[in-house]
Amino acid sequence: MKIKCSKARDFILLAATGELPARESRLLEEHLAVCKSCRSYREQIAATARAAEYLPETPAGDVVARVLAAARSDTRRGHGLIMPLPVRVFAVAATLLILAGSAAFLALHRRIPATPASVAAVPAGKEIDAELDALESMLAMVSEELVAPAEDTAGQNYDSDEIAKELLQLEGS
Amino acid sequence: MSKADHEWLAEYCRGDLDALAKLVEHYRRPLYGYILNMTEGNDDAEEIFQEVWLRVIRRARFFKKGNFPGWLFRIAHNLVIDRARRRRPSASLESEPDSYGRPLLETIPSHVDPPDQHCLENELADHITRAVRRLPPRQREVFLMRTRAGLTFKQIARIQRVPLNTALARMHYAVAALRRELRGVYQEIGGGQP
Ligand SMILES: [Zn+2]
Repeated sequence: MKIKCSKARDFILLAATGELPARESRLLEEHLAVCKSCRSYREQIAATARAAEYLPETPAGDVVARVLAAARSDTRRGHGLIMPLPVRVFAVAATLLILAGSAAFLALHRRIPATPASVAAVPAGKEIDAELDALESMLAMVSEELVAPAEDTAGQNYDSDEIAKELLQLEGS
Repeated sequence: MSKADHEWLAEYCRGDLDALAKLVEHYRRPLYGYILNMTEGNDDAEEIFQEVWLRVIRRARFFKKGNFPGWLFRIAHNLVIDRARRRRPSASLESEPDSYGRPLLETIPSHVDPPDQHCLENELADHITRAVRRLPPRQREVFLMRTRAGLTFKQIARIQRVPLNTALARMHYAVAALRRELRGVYQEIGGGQP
């Protein structure tokens, strides 16, 4: 089976993060062996990554110290470390209740996600999506702090079936 | 790191502040870099950086095993969006949506000057920084999370709440845009055809 350049380029990105399943890796290798343009694209991505190393990212030295100072005083106030069990149970229960209600709302109202072609330009008339985006991010803020995503611990091949499925859909579109 | 992130976090929960220090230090550059390049003010970035860790600290007990960087950067992502919302009160849920109906992340300015020239190593870094900050925010975020934070596309897609192929498409757009802007630079830093 042969793959198109557009798909090969997705595979190049996924291969770099270890997210490409073995079968797709072989397809990519076959494609790269015969496609100069995709080989050059892979070079471009590498050059982009090298360029990114020049981005500023160094905070003032004491920002870490300030975080630790905050952690110390937080501990004294009993926020992080010694929250009594009943309080925690209540907090989780309350959040789950909110989440359940909101998830139901979203499930009813969420429309089909944007396709790649529409990513760069957001046309007018997407008010509902915009509101739902805002609502979703609000929900995320509540849920992120309680429910950490459980994944990625099994090694590089986690969810490779799911990725393969999504790639298949990509192909079909 | 010799230990897994969740083990450091567990040690912190048992009262070891050094364990937290190791974690903060480990993610200092990628996390701060992400925040700094998504926002336009240095002071602001430090504030958000601290707030991210405060949230981590307050919820550390609930984090068992799992994808710590994904969690960390989702918190940062939400704070960046929250900041955009605060700066644009008209974008609140109760009021009329903005005239373009744009999602909040789209409203973060794309054309932003680097805040502190003295921090930039040289002209090259300056050039690259400007090019990256001209990327539309969603593309810029994918680019930073991938190249600087080392997140997988699956993690990025979850954080942005989009399908995997959307996250990939955003990276392709970013790569293409940077290629246009940085032709000469690529040659200077080695590799890549202009
Ligand atoms: Zn090709």
